[in-house]
Amino acid sequence: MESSVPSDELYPIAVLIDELKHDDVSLRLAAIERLSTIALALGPERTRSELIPFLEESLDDEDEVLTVLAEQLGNFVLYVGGNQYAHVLLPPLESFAGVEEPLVRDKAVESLNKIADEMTEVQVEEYYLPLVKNLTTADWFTSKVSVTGLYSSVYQKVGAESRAGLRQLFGQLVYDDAPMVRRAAATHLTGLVSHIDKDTVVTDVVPFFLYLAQDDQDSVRLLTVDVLIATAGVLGPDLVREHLLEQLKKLFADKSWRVRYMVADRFEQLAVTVAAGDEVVLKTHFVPAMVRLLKDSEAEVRTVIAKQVPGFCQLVDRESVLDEILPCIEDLVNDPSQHVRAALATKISGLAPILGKDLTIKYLLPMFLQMLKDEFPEVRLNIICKLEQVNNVIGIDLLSQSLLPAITQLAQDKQWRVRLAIIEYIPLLASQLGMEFFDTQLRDLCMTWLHDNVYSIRDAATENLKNLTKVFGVAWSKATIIPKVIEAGANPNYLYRMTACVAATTLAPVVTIDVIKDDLLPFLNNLVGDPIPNIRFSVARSYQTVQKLLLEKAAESEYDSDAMDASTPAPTEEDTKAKEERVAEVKEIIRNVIVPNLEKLKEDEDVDVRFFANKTLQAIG
Amino acid sequence: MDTDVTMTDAAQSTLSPVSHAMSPPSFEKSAINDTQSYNELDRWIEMLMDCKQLSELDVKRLCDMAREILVEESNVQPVKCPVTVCGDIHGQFHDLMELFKIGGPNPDTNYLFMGDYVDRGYYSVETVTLLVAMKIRHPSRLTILRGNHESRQITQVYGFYDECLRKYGNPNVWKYFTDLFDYLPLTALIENQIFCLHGGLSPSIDSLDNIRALDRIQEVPHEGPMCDLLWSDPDDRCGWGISPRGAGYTFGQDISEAFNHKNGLSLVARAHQLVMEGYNWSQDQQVVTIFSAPNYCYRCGNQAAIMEIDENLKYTFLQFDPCPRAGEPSVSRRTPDYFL
Amino acid sequence: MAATQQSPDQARLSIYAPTVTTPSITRAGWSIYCAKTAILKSDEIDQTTERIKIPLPEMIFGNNHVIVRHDASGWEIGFNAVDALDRVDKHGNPDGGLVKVSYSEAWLKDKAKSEDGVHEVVKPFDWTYTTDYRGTCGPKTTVFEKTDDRIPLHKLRRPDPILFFEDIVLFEDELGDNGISMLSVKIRVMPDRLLLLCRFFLRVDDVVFRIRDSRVFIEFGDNEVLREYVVKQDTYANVKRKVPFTTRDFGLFLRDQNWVAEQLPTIEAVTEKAKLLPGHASSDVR
Repeated sequence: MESSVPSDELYPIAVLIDELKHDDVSLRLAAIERLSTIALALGPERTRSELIPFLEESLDDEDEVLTVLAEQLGNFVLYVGGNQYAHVLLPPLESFAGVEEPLVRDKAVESLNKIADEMTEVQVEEYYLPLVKNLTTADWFTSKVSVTGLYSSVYQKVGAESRAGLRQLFGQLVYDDAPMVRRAAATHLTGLVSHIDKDTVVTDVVPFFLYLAQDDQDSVRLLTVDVLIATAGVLGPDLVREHLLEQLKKLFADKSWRVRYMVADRFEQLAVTVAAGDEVVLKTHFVPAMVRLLKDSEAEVRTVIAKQVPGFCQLVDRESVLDEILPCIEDLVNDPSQHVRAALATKISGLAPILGKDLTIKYLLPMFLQMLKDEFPEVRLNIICKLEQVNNVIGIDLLSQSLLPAITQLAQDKQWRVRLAIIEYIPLLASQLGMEFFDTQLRDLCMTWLHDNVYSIRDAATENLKNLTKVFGVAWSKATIIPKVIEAGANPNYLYRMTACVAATTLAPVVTIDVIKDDLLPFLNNLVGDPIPNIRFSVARSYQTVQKLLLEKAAESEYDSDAMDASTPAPTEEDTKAKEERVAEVKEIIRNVIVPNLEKLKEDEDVDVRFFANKTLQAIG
Repeated sequence: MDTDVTMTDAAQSTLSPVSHAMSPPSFEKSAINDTQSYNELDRWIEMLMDCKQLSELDVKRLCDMAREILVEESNVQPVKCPVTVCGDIHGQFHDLMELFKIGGPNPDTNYLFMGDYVDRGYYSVETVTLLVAMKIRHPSRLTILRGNHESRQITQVYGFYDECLRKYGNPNVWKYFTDLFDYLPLTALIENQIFCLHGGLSPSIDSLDNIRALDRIQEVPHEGPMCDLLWSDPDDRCGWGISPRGAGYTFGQDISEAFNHKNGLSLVARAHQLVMEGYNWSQDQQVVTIFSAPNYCYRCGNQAAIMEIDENLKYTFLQFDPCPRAGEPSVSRRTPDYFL
Repeated sequence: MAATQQSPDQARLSIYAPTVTTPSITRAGWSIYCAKTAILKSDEIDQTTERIKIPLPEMIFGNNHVIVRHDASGWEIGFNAVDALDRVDKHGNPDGGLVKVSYSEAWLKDKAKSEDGVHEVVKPFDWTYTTDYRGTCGPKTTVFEKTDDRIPLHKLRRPDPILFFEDIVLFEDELGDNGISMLSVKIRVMPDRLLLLCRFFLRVDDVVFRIRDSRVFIEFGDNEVLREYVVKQDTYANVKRKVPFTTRDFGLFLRDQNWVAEQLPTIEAVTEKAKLLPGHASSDVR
């Protein structure tokens, strides 16, 4: 295809050149986006000899055009004739790596790495290393920032001699005058170090780390935390302690809160990689550091370190937890920053499994109770959401006894999300407390949520009733829950009648055919004549769910059992006959009760009622 | 009374009835009633509820459909109770989702929005697209009025234009919507009792019939009754006044009392002004201001409110806070800068 | 306008009561008290309106403040919205000196045709909330006097560590979608000095830009406080002309207060100095 190009195929490159020179940026952009098509038409040889040089000349364009071009070139190895020609793509990308706009540079680096992957060692040595050297020794910081991102991929490709050269070059970036370059070097050292062998890391990389970790810019120092973690991964705990621990201790107590934030954020990971289970190191270095960070003057630092507490406490001995860390946690419960308290609330229950039952009751429970009364709703919410962990440790009896007053109070919290979190916790509580206790202490509360003025609470209340029915059984539901639902269906406000309608529908899957037939369906039928169209179309939708459930239940021989999940023996002939009768019966209910009501709704004056009635009728068929 | 002057102006600057009839019927009215378009609308609404924008082409089709419906609505659109009345949203999409969590989903709950869907917030495109899609899907369950921000001129200064450009790469979507905004009704009347509009009253308007006589299908003019309905504010002082800014009116309690009395109204419900509690009674309960964008502009710390009116015209205000934003840092600290 | 009113220094009897009593930072004997909270509630707005006698800006952070206080002497200067608004022109210049929105003339002309009988401007006041506020001085604050000293910018350009930084809005009004009026305070505390900038920023679309900057500079070693007050103003058209023509977004520039500040010519600038009394005992603790 590259041998003889007919003259009319010169057309695409002519158009492209025109469009690349066009005043309209969007046309130039479109041309660049079609570059591969055109390269394909030209064939590899002309792409190499004409297109690429042309592109090199048109480098002086708007940043958005250059961004796309830099990205396109990363996929161009195929179009220049495969990997043996990959190096022809390097010169334009080298220029892009030096421009001012970071977006363009990022794309150029991305593409250069892609191309490096496709090159052989010989090609890399011949073409790529000079590029790396050029960019590293360039005058302008942009090139130097870009090139830091190239070392990792190219390092793996070359021999020992070149590797030493690369490390030496990278050192120039580490010791550069411009903080931007040192930042970039620190960022990419993390990836590079994993390709370097242990001994060389000690001789070459550790000095880099130590230099950067003592940088006078905190934005550089904070990046060395990840370098330390990556380096530790290569060195193993003994060498890490020998070479890095002293510097890590300085980072723990850095004067910039951003650096302390970073070590706090990675605290558990640091403890795992650096201490690696060594109790003495943990006790002498990490526990005091954690204590200091928990008492840090900056709320941001306390917020992130609070989240590391349970993970870290798993690593250390119980004595240190009780004597050193817990007193600080007790202070954090009263922290002036709500964000710190909220962060602590998400994690504090993670201490329960570590402390065990007795200590949890002694130390954690009082803190929970206090945080449940926190003035900031997010704190209350975060505690409630994690109570199950505590429950597993101390048992529901104790938990509910001590928490019940708080729970009944929070059930009426003015923040609806707090109420919601409590509702979601109720079924678990119910199953543990038993029916009698629940009926006296919590049942009325559950019914008041049906009348909450926030929709999401009413909606969750219906789901809650379904879950409670699963816990306490159909008979209980029929006697206590369903009458209240039906009562709510007479509310003068349509929004609450809507909730009742939804509640009836939500309960249907967990009750028997009899209850549907005798209680729920008559209630729904009543709402067919509701003056508000919203209620009428809601019923039309409910009918669809209910009729489907009736048929399913009849077919599943679940006529009158509380034990719906009990494994049933193989059906006898009698069973089969009874089942057929039941299916016939529910079909009659659908035909004689549901369908006539839907036919009525189908003729409703309101278009939405007609729509949903028709939809359900279609489903019934 | 100057209404006829404005109407003449309007007729020149917008579609005359004739040209409207001749405009290509890009979407047959009957087409909105078939199952296919219902399914498509449901799909769009589902996407939009996830804060995903529609394609440019779909926005065009949506606006074409919406125009067919809105053009049929009155300048004083009658609305039945029960209905939940809402004020400014201003592109705060996630807080609109919070509103639905508080008030209930549409169509189950009926809604009336009093304008200002766009500008200021970061998600004007998603917000207005969703409300328009809901309007088409269940026209009798949702009423959307025009606010002063539903205009070509204002949206070019306060964010919607820039957002469309950013999200679609061209101003077409802005054009489709601002063309559609011309069709939004100006006011609504709940059960002949509660008069709802974005701004307030106008000295050129005595009766609801005056409003019905306006030709609204046009860009919001800088002056005249249509402008006043979207811009004016109640004031503590009696009578009509000119704003100290040199344009726009304020109206006193005597004005709203007279207007309510003459038109048999019990209440004027309006939006347009930020209030810390989300709603605010004024003028001896003749007027209520409702504002439904909590923590307006992401920094005022105000509550939002909606007004639920039940089938017996009893009203309840529900206040709410901004929805918790996942992924945002819990500690907000401005980056120190070396200002001079 | 400043000349016709009482000197801003003398506004000692603040009508504002600060809410925060523990310092955000204390450095070299100076304490900074910052309060940053939500806009005022309706009843607070009513009370404040009653006192100030003009309609308040739409977003009024009336409980926000920054106070800089010398612990030993009790010398202090504070910034809050209420005192700033108290210095807004509350009556309007009788000869019509108030700024009008761009389309005001057209609106009034059209309105005249309608003969609606409405002629009176309601309670005219400076609705742009332009204020010459330079801060509220405490009872022990010594008088500021004009000086030839200048705030040493070279010291402030150094990248010294910032020990404390805060940026607090005092009020903001969208001027009925005709632009923006905003008063905000920024403060940064370095090891040896602090700088506070209270900036009033006004943009009336198609009409005018205004900036009123009050800077307070304290070199902790010196027993004095420098205060600089700068008035800048230009027409909207002049500023718009300076937006780089290559941009696709004019608004981005016109909303950027720092960019606008660089474009506006200075109309008035004065630097004052207050000496701390050396022997002042720290008798009154807040």
